[in-house]
Amino acid sequence: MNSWIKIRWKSFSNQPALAGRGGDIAYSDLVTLWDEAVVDLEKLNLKTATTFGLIGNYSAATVVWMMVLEDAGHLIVPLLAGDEESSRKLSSAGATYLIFANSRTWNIKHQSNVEHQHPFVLELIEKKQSGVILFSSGTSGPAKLIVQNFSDLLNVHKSKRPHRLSILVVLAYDHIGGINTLLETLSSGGLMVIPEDKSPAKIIEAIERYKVTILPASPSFLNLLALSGLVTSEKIKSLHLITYGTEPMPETLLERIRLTFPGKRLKQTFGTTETGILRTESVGSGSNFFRFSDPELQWKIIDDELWLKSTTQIKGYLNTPNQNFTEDGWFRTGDRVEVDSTGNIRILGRMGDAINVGGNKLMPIEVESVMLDVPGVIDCRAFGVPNALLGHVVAAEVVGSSDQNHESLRASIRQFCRTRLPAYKVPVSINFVTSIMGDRLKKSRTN
Amino acid sequence: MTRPESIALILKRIQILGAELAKPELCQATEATKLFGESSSLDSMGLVTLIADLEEDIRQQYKISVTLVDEKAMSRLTSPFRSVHHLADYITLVVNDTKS
Repeated sequence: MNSWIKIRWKSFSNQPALAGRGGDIAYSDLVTLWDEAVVDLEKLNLKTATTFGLIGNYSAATVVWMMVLEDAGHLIVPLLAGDEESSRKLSSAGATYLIFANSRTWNIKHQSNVEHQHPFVLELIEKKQSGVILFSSGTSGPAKLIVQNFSDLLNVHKSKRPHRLSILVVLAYDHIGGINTLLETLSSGGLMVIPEDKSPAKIIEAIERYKVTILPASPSFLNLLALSGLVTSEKIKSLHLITYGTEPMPETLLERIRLTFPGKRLKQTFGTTETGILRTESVGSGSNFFRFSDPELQWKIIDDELWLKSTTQIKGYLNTPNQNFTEDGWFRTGDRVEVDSTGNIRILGRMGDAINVGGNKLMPIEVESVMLDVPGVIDCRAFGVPNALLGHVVAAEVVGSSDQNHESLRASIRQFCRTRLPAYKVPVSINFVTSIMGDRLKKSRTN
Repeated sequence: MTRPESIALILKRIQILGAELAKPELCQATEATKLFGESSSLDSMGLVTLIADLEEDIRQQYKISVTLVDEKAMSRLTSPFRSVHHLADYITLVVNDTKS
């Protein structure tokens, strides 16, 4: 087989492909590893499409195996090494082989003999296309099992021109956002920079050292960078573009990030495990409104919920009822959105996160955006709690700066919220915590 | 918890809330002050906030977790939220019941 991506990697020859944790890897090294992987794959003597658990993290070995397995039409289950749920995930995905990948080496182990029965998987196998099996955590119940057409996800990048940009990978390796960044970077001759860890110090160090131009991240992650006090214009001078997605972005946080990264372009991205990453354009660096610019995408809003129909969208889940998909092919995202007069969209949160206070509805982001503006509030989360008088009321968890007395900060937050919000949106109870655990809106998308 | 302790706790919280809401009449609250209803200075949100603050005070001072607004409170013949007087009776009862 002669994959277009391999031909492209050969043409990039000695250009750097990966840097950071795991050491420097050139495109020519990837081609060498590719040939080694093919030899190992042939030894397995597989007659039919087979599911492989690919256990590791971003590395030369994992990216090479993804491409080799795609080229041979197999199915891939990317899993983070150390994922506590990996054995449950692997058995529900039905992996026959496990590849334990280090930076440039790997071990292959036979796991079990499972035949693919699900029609969505059989359909891919019949078309001789590769699938990637991902898990999407919902608001309740077990993670939803999703098979995406991996060949399609890859081939989207075939028409893109080489760019040699340097992109930092901080989104998870086993999620659609991370996979998209990986494909985008390595199909175009870019440099994928893998930080030692996700601490602000290591991130800033990686940006400076490898002259990172694009940083795809989540709002929470950018907040941590902003609050670290480590960002200086000298250290991030290579950075051109910061993209943010996976969670709603409160306006005040966007402003905080703009002040931390002055002059850098900020762009909202949007994607779901079910639809893949969709092309978007932000209204401007200071706005959390965006529009879809994907010619293949249709969208509409029904009862404040965003509905999508795209060519890269799955038909349904492998392990749960497909109630998020309509018979005529629409996917109900579960995202509550707002549209402005010109048709631009803003993500407000998950449908289930809406709080109903005595008949008045609000979204947590409305409260969070105001609370983040209070001096001394480092991070916060708003949510509804049951109340016998009003049905539900707004409660909040706040990470306060260490020099603030909790009682006086609680009073300031409520005072400030009262000047900016109607009474029913003001948090009734405010608890102080040491961290919000990186998820601003608890049940936002995990892609 | 004694009833005078309960009264003191409520009046302190009402005064703080009165300052936050810029309602001077709440700063001069007494045992007879109405908490909810036509002649009260608190609306439903104000009452809910007051109750949440009191629950937090009780948690910190008495190391117990109580719910003051629940079906039990709502179904009482005389609403515990009618006045400071009634609320003090109710809080004393709930706290002592929970502690024992």
